[in-house]
Amino acid sequence: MSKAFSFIRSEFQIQFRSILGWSIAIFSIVSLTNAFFPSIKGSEELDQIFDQLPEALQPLFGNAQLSTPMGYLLTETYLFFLPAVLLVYAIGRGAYSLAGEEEAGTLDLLLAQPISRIRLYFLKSITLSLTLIWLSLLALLPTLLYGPFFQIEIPAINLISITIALSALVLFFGLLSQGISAATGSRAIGIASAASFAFLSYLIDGLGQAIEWLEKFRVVSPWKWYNASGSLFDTDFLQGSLILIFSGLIFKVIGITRFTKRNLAS
Amino acid sequence: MTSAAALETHSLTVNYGKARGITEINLKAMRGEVLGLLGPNGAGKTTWIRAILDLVHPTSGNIKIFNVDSRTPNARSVISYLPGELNLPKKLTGYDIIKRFTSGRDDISQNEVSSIASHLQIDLSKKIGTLSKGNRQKVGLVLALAPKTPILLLDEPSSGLDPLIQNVFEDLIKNKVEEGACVVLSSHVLSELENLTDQIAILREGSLINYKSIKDLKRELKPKYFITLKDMNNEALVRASLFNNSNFEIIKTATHLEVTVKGSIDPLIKALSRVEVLKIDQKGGDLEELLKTFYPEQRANHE
Repeated sequence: MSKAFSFIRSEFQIQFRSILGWSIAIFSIVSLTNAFFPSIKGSEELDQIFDQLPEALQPLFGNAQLSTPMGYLLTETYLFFLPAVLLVYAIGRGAYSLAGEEEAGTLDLLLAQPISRIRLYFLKSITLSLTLIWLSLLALLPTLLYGPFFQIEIPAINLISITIALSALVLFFGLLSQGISAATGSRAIGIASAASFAFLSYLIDGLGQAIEWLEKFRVVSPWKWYNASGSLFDTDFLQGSLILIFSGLIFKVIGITRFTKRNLAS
Repeated sequence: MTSAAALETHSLTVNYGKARGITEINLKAMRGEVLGLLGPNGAGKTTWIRAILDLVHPTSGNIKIFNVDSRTPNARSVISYLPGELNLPKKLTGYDIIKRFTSGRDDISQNEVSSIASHLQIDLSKKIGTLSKGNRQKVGLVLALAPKTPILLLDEPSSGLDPLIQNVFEDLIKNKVEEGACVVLSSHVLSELENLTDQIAILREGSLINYKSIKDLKRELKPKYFITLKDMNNEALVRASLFNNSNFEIIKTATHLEVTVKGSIDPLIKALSRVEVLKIDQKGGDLEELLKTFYPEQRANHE
């Protein structure tokens, strides 16, 4: 146990500056986004602009009234900025965690120790998961602490619900990116495939709510299970989050299976 | 010092598909000895070492470490390793590197880290990015030599070291061997192999083409002597003294005799005592010369 702790500590040590930078960025983004809300609160014109959008496009923006605190938080923060920023980190870091070490030539030194590839994979994914949970929790703080100051007063339980759902979403994409890159030994393949899937599945989920023939494909979209609207408005996060985490673990198993069997690049 | 085999590979083959790996390598390294791996780039030295560490998987054959299958993490607890291409995170200090890449070990002490760092004259508090290639190599050496492991796999360990530190490195290896360690040394530095190794395995194109003790290998060396006599007509006297001795091959040129010697030089010395000698030069007869005989195509390219 102490060896595992020591390894994870060393992982955080090496990533300290990066995590600190991302933490500051995420805290700042949410704070700034919240700070803009008073200027559009109650703006009927803004709501009308969104109402005039084609019906097929409206779900892409959360189907919410932007002039209300919850609608604004959903559309601006939890549908756009936060997932975008966190997915960049999750996908990039997930791909780097094993394939990046392999490409940098440091994986040999890690595995020359008495540590199995499976164990290394687990320790790396624990580090990744803890970081992603930390960043998701950090994104909650500005709204929780300063939300009322910017006229965004939302019950804590709703904020916690959407935070858990967001954590599950970024965990899924982090584990997906880690699994693909570890399986192939290529960071680029991991990033490209996870990022493409994130974008395409976002479109499928959004457009699928209004376009009938696309609706049946929504089941494979992580964004359906993220269910940002339901998680924030109705605290309906449990089922979707569990599905996302379980799906992420499936990609983890696939990644481990291939990673343990293939030859590592020197 | 014991004679137990520390690691053995039996018919070890690693197939990379289109790229060449290694084929049917049978090698054994003992405790208290240094096994030298010799061969040009791409000969299979690094693949053999990486197969022992389970970084690449054997296509066939097997690897035993103290008679246990190598494909268990515990097998690696007795091995420390220095890769041929050492890549260390530039933002970390030497101390951070030691912590990071030994976090899975029990067999490393701060005292030993400090002692080896002191011998190699490297400041571990500096960030890797600020160090020269030679100093980064020293950090890698601390990483490989500080654990109390009975097997050391060192791939091009003296790359980038200056001659003084090269001597320190050789002393550290000799100490490890005296303590009973088994050291596998892959190197292009022939003098280093001559100084340190007990056995030498020569690889070419993924196959083991020669595996002998350094003593036996040296017996195969054929040094060439260039002898200038005061009166070159006395060549006949030298030939007569060495008549019927197949270990000597004499060629006369206008200015000197070229004598190729296999085995002891003593008969030649005795033959030369009968004539007046102005000058003797010697060429060849070292590992480099021998190596050329194993890689004729490389010699041709070089020439």
